[in-house]
Amino acid sequence: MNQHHDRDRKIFEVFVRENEGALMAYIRTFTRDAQIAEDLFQETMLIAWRKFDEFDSRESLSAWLRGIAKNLIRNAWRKQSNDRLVFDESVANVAQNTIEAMEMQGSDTWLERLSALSDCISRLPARSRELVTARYVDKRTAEELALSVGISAEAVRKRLQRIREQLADCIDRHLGEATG
Amino acid sequence: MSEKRGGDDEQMLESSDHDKVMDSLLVSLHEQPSEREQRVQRLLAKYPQPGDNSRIRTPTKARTHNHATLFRARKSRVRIVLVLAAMMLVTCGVYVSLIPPSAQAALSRAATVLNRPVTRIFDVEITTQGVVQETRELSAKLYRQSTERFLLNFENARVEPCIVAGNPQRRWIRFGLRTWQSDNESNEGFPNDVWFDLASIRQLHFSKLIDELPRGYDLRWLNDAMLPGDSKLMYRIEAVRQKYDPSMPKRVVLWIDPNSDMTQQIEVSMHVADFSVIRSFVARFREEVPPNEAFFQLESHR
Repeated sequence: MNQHHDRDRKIFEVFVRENEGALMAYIRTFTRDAQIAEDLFQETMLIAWRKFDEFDSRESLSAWLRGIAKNLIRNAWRKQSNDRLVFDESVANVAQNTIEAMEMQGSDTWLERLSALSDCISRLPARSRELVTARYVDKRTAEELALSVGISAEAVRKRLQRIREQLADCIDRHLGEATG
Repeated sequence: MSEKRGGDDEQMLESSDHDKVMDSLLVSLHEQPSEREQRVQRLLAKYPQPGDNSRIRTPTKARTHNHATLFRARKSRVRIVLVLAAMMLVTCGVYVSLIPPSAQAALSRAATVLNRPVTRIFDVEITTQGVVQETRELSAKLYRQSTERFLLNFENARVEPCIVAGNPQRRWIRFGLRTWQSDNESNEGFPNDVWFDLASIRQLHFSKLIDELPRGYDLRWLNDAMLPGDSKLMYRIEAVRQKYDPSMPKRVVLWIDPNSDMTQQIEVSMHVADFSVIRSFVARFREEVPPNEAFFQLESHR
């Protein structure tokens, strides 16, 4: 019994480690609240594990997980009393298509699949790269960045948004070339 | 758990679909390994201890499937023969690449032959490389009476010959006299030495696999290939997946007898990225006296 339990737990661990990166990226598209994202992530993983028999191995495991997550996100969005979580079908489609295209790259890990994004960042002008670093590596808010850069927080947000648009175009080209 | 992202919440509502996705990908890219590890550990902590009544019932498929049941090529000596055979064939100049019509026709005939409802016998070399256990090699004979009825006879494992039946649609699998279903408490007694599951069986629906090849694969055709370990000349069709799909094999090699259109050997390599699929296996089909049909009557699956 214990032997089975230990083995099953280790399999579960592999299952989680193999899929957590892409799944979290998908869930984060709908919420910037880290706690909500993690709750949804945990619930998705546990439901998927319980229902693993329903997974059709001819389909993509990652897409199946996203399908479970999408239902949970939609339900949570309907029940919530604030806007910490925003579900939108078109966002779901874009997230699904983008992550799926990244998975088509054939790399083994999620971080390897994100290498296209790293390439695109390295092609940004130096000032844009610094802003990306400050925002995503140092995790500074728009307000904090506004103080250090000497512009308004709104201007920082718009600048970040433009950078992300550039990166999105770059990623599309990158993935388009890779998948033919 | 605090993260300085809340300040931009209101902006999220105004941003474009692509912007939200890109923001998420940027967070993912720059996430520290320690953050990811902590998240994984918090989830793993929810996996209950033994005896906990709320324990997660590991599904049959998950338990077996995720041990990465690997059907692997027949050891290094066969690989050497394969390499030598390939070199010889290339040297002889008989390799004719990219003749899809011929390859497709051969595949179509091979699928038709495999689909015939007669008993087939496959020698299967299996290597189980469990996530948590040492590599084990198993030799088995797989008797298939129909596309959903199998007899597995393991030669060097503590597994009695048993009927295996599976129904992917209704999600059940039967070993011997017992049936395991998804979300069924009786799964506890699953015969773990076997490591077969619905997905494995589905993989062994070779005719279905062959049907898939012309659609998503580049086919390379060799019309006078020597089957490794055998002197017979075969059609050899190598199918390489055009686009990454973790649920489909990345490479399939078929050896087909040109006289009978009977597939003699299949080598399948799966993508390693997805642990939930079989990594690779070789099945050699061999004509033998069929098992006693009465054996199959021990079980009638409903």
